[in-house]
Amino acid sequence: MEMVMETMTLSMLHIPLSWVLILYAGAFAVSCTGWRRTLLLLLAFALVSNALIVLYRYSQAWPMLPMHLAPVLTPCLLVSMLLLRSAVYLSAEPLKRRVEQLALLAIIICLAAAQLFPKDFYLPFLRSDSLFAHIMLFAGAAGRVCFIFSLAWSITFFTATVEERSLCMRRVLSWAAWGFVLWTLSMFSGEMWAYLGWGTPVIWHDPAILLMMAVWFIYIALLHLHFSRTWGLRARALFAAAGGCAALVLSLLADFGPFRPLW
Amino acid sequence: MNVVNVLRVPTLFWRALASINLTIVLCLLLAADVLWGYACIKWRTALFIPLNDLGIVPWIQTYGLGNLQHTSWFFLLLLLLAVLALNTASCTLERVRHLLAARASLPRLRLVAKLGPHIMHAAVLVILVGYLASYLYTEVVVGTVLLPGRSYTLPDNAGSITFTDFIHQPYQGIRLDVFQGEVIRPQAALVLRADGQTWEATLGYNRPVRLGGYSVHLDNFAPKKPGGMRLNKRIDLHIRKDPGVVLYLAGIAMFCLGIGAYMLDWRIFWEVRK
Repeated sequence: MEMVMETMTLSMLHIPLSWVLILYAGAFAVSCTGWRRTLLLLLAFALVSNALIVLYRYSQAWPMLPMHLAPVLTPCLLVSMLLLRSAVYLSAEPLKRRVEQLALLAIIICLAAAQLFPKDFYLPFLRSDSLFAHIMLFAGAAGRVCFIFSLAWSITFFTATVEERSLCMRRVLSWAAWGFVLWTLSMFSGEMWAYLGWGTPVIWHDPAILLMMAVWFIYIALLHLHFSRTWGLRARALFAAAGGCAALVLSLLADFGPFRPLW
Repeated sequence: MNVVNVLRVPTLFWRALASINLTIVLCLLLAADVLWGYACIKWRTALFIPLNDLGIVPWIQTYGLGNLQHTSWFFLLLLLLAVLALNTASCTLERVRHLLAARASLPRLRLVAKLGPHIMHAAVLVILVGYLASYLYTEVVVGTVLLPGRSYTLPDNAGSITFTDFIHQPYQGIRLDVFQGEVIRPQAALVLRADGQTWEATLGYNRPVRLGGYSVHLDNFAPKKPGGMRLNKRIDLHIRKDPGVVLYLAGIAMFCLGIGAYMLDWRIFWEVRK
């Protein structure tokens, strides 16, 4: 009986990803209007659904790591951040609204890609019973959220007024710096996990570490560019936008499998 | 005049080497190169797997030079990392020299906070040296299989490992059908002997054992499911002596320390400056 109950509870928790995607798309459409309360409600609803998927996958895998969860966990953390800082982001201020819309667009793309390119490769599953594996997942997803905000502010730079541009660049730098710190933590946790499990910090069976390194180098370049101030504001914003787009794609590439259309 | 010009060459070279613009260019080249590497490993994984166990020199001789169309990115990576290490070292030395020259005018906490990025730079160098030492000097014992009661003696009599028992922890839940009744947390009871001392240890996935400078990792085990007409109890060990591990772990710790100092500078002093 207990087993049946547990199975039922878990089945009820299993909300399809496409439902969450529709909710986020709806929230994006509403964000283009002035209906802030509807947006807040929709985002809260989408977040609960998204969090249930994350919880479901975690409950299935625990104490091991649910593999390829990053494209689903990232929107969850990003929307939590939007709602936690709702006074800042879910405001009627045009600049912040644009950032919020771009961030929502990024998570829609992220979830749509997770739907169309699912990956179910579970080779090191038993070996993922490590605290470092879980830190790697969460720090990586949180870092990705910061990169998405940094990217959104850098794109907003081009539509901002001259007075607003320095604020945009401060935000780009601030989010990029936090993202870099979290990404580094994720990378080091991955290396610690690899060392404990395989005896070497770089495992050449899986090239995912190279994608992490590529994102890391892109953000090192971006941060050094900001500190050196050798380029003008516009050029730096362009670099942040291009680098941010590349980093977003690269940071998720390892979690995507072959194309499997829904129809 | 010519002598003056000749004397200026090392100074100009040093400045160019310490340039932040060079760092930016190198980082972009490294990002592009590791992407190329990603594609190469995806297509030819088997070429790179031996890098886990072979040192870098035997790997280059056996696989690297014979498959340049798939391994060139790796040689470029080594070159770019070497230039990045020189760039980081010169840039850090130059800036730390300036910072220490102005230390009298800075409060102690501020000085520590301003050293944050330089600690991170030094940490990158320590990590790179650690990797280099690791790939040059690691000693790997591949394919050591132990049955219960059997022992393995480490090279140069550095110690011995006796496998005493395999502790079954089968999966009891209902969530993972594929793991129903399977061992999900393998643990092997070992008796270790080194320097005339004997002690017990438990080996598991992500739970290596250290003995006589070697780290012992669990590579595989049997049976996967306890009971029935299954395979005998067996553990496959992966044993390594890696002189670089201390360095890159120290580098990781240093980098985290540097990030802490940098965040201190950024959160406290940047606010004041603003």
